[in-house]
Amino acid sequence: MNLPATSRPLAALCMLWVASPASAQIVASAADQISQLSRMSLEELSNVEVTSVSKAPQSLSTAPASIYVITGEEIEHSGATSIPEALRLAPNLQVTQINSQEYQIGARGFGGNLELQNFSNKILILIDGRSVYNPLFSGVAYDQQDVLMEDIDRIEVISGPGATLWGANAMNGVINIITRSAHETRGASLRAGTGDQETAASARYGASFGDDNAFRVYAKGFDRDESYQPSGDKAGDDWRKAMAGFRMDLGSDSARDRFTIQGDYQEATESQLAANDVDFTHANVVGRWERSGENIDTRLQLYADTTDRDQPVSGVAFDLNTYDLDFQQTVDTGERHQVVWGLGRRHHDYDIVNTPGLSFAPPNRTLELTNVFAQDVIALGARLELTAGVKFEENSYSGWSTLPDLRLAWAPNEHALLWGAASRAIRAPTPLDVDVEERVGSVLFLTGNPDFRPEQVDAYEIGYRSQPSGSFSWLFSTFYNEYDDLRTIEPAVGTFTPLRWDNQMKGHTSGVEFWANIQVASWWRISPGLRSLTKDLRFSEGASGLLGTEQAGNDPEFQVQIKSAMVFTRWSVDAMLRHVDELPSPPNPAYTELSARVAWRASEKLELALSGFNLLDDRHSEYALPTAREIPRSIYAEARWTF
Amino acid sequence: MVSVASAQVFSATAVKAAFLHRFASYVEWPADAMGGGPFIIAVAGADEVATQLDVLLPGLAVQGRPAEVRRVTRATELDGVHILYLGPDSAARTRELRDAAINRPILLVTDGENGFAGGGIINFVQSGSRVRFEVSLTAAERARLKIDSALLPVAARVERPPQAWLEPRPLRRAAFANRLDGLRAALDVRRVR
Repeated sequence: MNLPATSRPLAALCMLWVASPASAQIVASAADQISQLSRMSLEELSNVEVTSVSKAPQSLSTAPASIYVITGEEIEHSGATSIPEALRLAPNLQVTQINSQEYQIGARGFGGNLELQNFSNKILILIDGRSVYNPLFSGVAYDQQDVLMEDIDRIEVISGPGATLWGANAMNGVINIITRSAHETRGASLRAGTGDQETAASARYGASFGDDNAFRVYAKGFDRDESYQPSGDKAGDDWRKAMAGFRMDLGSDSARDRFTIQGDYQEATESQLAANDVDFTHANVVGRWERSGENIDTRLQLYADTTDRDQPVSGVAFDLNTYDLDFQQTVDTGERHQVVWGLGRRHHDYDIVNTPGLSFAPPNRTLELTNVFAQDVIALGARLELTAGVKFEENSYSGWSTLPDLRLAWAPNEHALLWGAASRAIRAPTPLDVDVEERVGSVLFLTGNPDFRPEQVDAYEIGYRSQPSGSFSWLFSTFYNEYDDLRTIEPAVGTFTPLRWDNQMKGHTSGVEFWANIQVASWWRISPGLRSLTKDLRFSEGASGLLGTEQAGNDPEFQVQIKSAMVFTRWSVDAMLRHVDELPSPPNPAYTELSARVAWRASEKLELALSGFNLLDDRHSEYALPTAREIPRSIYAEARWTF
Repeated sequence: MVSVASAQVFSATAVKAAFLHRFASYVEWPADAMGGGPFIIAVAGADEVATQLDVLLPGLAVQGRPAEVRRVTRATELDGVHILYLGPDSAARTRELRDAAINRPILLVTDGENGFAGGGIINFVQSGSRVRFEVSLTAAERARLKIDSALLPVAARVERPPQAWLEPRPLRRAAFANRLDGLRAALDVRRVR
């Protein structure tokens, strides 16, 4: 019996739920800037435009975790036109493009194994505080995750667990996408671009109103072209999207009380080879109140999110609604303690259109996710800080889980931080684990498992970051993750079918992450990065071992990248070279690719840019699968007009 | 409508460093606080700003004496300090610094805090993509520092000791500030030269 082949329908179908394109923060050199600024008057200083005044990225530089911050400038200079392509800038992520519409993105391994019915399902991704992984199977539909790229303030990428603060699914990593406040996006911006893989246009307008309020509205659309089949034929996976949204911020960014309301709507149509188009619509609205008090900061957030996805032939169509309420408080209790605590509740309801081959019993349900957490940062001395936290989280399938986190950080001097951490995180069961029924003909082939347990990790990490000078900084971290209850497939006793999901795999992974920023000259920055991964997984005693341990993830053992950013008065030149090691099973050869962008500021209002992606090969494959595709070399020319 | 200002964009930390240096020309310290040593700008929880000052200060005279940066983490390191900047990274542990600075003739500069709740005499605030600052004359009085009135028109907000009947209406103050702006700019340019 050829299991992988017969079980492929589920993998293929679930893939369709899932989705569907380098540099540095560009500021003039430290020495240049400061000498220029020192000659300015107070008024001039008050009117200087700054890159980002936001508090968080700076605080992150002292956080005891493996965090890489992709700045909005870095994204702009990379030429990335989508969130997954922007995520390639993070040296601690594994980004794999499957075809024109789909990506698999993971951290510290477990990037999914599409052939063996597994997805990158151990990562949490948030857009302005809104969780966007799909609760039906814990994976992320990247074709659906979108914002106006130029409005991104930063993307914080945390490799390692973040469950104590973020909860569900923050098992191997957290991706936190944060857009600028409406105060920072005033004025109009028009852009239009075209190339051999994409044609796109967008418009945004923002203004202030009243004393301290601001809003923005935007609309964008794109058309992305087909990738290629291994035979060299076009893959018929071109797609197009129209999207619009708004954001309103009441109260200045430094006011005591701030209210934010924002929302987006999108509609997309995706072609499929020899099948009818996939259509989806997605809408969300987020409301947030934040108060900065003398010793207490408070945040209350409410959001609603709805997706309607229609896949005519394969039939995995669903409606999914999410409502989430989240409350959080940071309390500075005095000299030694800083406490963060919070609670939240998320409600999902969904309706899946069952098909003869793949169905869910029941096809509609409500899922509830409830959590309460607290974390204390304790100053043990002037240079020693202990972070202790725990989250209790309840999900509809497996009840309560305890997610603790302990971190000790020591600053040997003002420029360096050494930390160690131990944490536990889980991936909660989903309808795909519990309710699924897959049939081959009339035979029930695979069923969910009502007793499916959360997949679990105990993660240990040691890291060191240092900024010995204004022109050089680096981070090194090493991890050891102990996994238990990973998902496997077990045959029925005697009859073999139906197969059933189970939790019969365990084992550990280890690896290192390193990255650095080197300001070689006032106009040139180089940023190397690398990550490595070793996996040692095994089946529990008595398990069938069906599909092998490689079903847990088809991951490269290492990946290296080097980014170069050059900035001159009117020109900027950026490039990123990345090398990804071979994938073991199914095998995909190692590959090296280059992307680059040249931009010219023609006037204060007009910028012209030319980008090239995957420049080293006519076509290359990032994931070998009969349904996976080869990605062609492409170029993209763009004009941006601001006024 | 908002104009997209000069094409050049600076890092916020560099701008703050430049502000810190410039503030010194608008403040008068009590004679006993000046001593004979160098002019010292202390920085806590803002390493990047300190790095910028490292580059900026050498060779510059402030109040007629050489200027230095000092990175501080505890109150015992505040001797001889004229300006103390508590950056946004400063966590719970800087409370000790803050409490110690409030009772001395030190220009305490805070960053993005809720107004002057943090005890700052000057507080950096974010205004769109610009760095502005607020001034508390109440806090300055407590620290025995004299603030040059020329600093005030540039401030995003000025907090004064409670003398409600003397307080000009906000609107009129803004108009007045606008008129002063041009004058100040002219004077300031001359001062730099």
